[in-house]
Amino acid sequence: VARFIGIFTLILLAIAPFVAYNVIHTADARDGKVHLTYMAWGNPEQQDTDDAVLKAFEESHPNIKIDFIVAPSSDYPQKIQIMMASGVAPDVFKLDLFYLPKYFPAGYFMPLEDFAKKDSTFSFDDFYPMTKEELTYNGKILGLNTLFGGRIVYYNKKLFKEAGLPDPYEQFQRGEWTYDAFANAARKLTIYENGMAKQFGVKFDFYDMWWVVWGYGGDITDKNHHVYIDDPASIAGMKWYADLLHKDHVMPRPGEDAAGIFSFESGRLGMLVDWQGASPRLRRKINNMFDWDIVPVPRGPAGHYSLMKGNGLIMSSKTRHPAESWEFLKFLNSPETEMAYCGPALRRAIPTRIVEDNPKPGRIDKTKYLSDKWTKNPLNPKSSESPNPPPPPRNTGTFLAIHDTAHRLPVTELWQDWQPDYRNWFGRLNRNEITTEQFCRGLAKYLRDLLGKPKGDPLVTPGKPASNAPAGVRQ
Amino acid sequence: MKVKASRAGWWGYVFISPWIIGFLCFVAGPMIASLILSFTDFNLVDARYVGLENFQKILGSDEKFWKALSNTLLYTLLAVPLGLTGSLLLAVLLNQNLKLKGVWRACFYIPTLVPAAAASFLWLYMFNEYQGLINKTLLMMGADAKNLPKWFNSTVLAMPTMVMMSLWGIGGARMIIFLAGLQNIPQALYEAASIDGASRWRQFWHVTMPMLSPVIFFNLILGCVGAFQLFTQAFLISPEGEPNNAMLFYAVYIFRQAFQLFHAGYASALAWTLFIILAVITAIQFFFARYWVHYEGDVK
Repeated sequence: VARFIGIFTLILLAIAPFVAYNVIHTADARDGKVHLTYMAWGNPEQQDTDDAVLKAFEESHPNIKIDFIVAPSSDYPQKIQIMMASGVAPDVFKLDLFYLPKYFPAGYFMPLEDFAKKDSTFSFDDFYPMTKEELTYNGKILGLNTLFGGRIVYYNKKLFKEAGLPDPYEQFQRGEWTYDAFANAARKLTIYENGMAKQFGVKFDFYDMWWVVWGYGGDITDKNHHVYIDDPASIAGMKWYADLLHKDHVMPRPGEDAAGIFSFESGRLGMLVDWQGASPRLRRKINNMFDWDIVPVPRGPAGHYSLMKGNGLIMSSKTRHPAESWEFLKFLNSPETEMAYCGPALRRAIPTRIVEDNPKPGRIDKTKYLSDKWTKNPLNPKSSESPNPPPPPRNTGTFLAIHDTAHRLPVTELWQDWQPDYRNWFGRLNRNEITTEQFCRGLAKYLRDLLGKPKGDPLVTPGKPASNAPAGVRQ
Repeated sequence: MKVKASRAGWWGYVFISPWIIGFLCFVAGPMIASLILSFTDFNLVDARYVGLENFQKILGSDEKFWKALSNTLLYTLLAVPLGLTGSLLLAVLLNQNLKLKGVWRACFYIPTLVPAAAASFLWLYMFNEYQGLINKTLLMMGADAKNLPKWFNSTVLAMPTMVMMSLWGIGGARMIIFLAGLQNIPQALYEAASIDGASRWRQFWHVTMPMLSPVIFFNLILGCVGAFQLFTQAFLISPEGEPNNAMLFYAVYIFRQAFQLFHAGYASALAWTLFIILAVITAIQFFFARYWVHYEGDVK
């Protein structure tokens, strides 16, 4: 008997994981609904909107239940890629575009053209071409873009006033918001007392090197793995940046911003260059301590370029419910949902759908989108609060303006391979261990060795637009 | 009798079967899988057999492997002896007949209860070049504001700073083990030494150290393995290994290859290389242990 019990226990323990798996995957049968798993990373400021969107979808589709998995953004890439490799990817998931090229060959992603063709309520023509191109590989559209946004300049209006500087958005409207105007503002906004910084003019990130060099007519690399960072125009762009950091010292050096003492919300920073997605977080943290607003990044000597990117809403190729997943994807990307994230109440991103006056169905109403009044949106529970005056940012023209000057990152299957070393090179420049020339030439050699391509053709027309893309959009 | 023993054995297997299944599924299985993967080019999409190519690259052309290995080795060579010495001295101190002995022991142990992540951020702030408490203290003592040490931001000082930070844990489990070892030394040995006229220093060197040598050896082995596997603090303080790869630790490099660059095959090869290195280092330690580790009852 003891032997029997022992063997039985061993068998039970051995089959337990399979039973658990089966229980989880028969959820559909329990309540008669189709269960879709949806995974995304969390963002506290948009949590209410996320919840309201899912609730509204379930109400409008009573036969579908969404099992929402929220993963911390820091672990998200690892988690989703291991899930995909293990064949247990969620039916629908959010994925940063950086990971698409590398995993496209594995067939993890369901192409969406066939769904769109069969669906009379949906047209890819309603989207800005750039948002589709980001998620298109080998001619296949692998996802719908969401939370699309660009690098923009957040500025502290109080500090600008105290420094006697003109409003940057007004300068932008007059066409005077240039690299020189930007650098001049950064210098005047920087204050030292007894050799110690009390206030800084600006803060950049390594992402910003792209628009900095584009504005000088240079580039870092392109989608064909040609390298341009040692081009004279690129060196000039990097020198402009390095001078702001080391010569003028108008931005914190590595370590100088410990514990965020020069964060934008501290009120001790004049300008912050960040993604548009930072708006809700800054609004919450600043909480009316001072007035602030936004403006596009400045115009460079060779033209006006901004950097934009979005996130992919992907359908797993392994989903057992493709039709329902398509319905859910469409809802996550519908004009109403986009307005909840992009409209006045949250101002989290720029719509991926075309914004126009008197829009046809499937597009965004320009007057509502650019309004600075919080209109009621059932998908955004906070929108009904309608504070008066509305909280920043109010220069909503910035959103569409950067759309007009947008470039996207040349993400390829090797993108992940060179990012850590790129940041390392950038760190050495920031710590003043190497000169701008050494940075550009060293990084160029490293990139050419890694990417395996010789020096590219002379960079005659940076940001040459493709024939089917909006002006300024680089292919 | 034999049947009874056999039945008892069966029950033993039944009761430890959760652990055996867990070990086979979650430890031995992944280990064998990673050994197989180390001979492949596996990026979580495709696995292609490449033979010894990964190991050839590791030992041949991968500069970062050598950098990560030398950094980790340097850290081990500095942090382990210093940590062992610190823990031992603290244990000797707390083994004295002090007033409020229990309170002192708790005081020295408490810092190790702070999670590694929280402690890392605390030290990162303490060692900050501009705002940190250490440089502010140096300023108050009259140091030149323009020549203050950059600590974690200096290629030269980053590693010593990391070692200094590691000493935060000298009052932890290692000290407790030393304390237990000290309390196991028979008092009679000290009394005999004292009657023979041995000073406190002589007693420490000729009684305490030999009697404690198995514990020191145990802590040395664990300390070396732990130092080679250092991850949390290194990753939190410098995920990219900055400045200039001076803080690139071996475990962080494995993580980067596996979960940031998704070169899982190469990362497996790196992990097995570390296993071999650690096995060799441990074997060397065991070889030399016969010359300095004294076990009671040993006949030499």
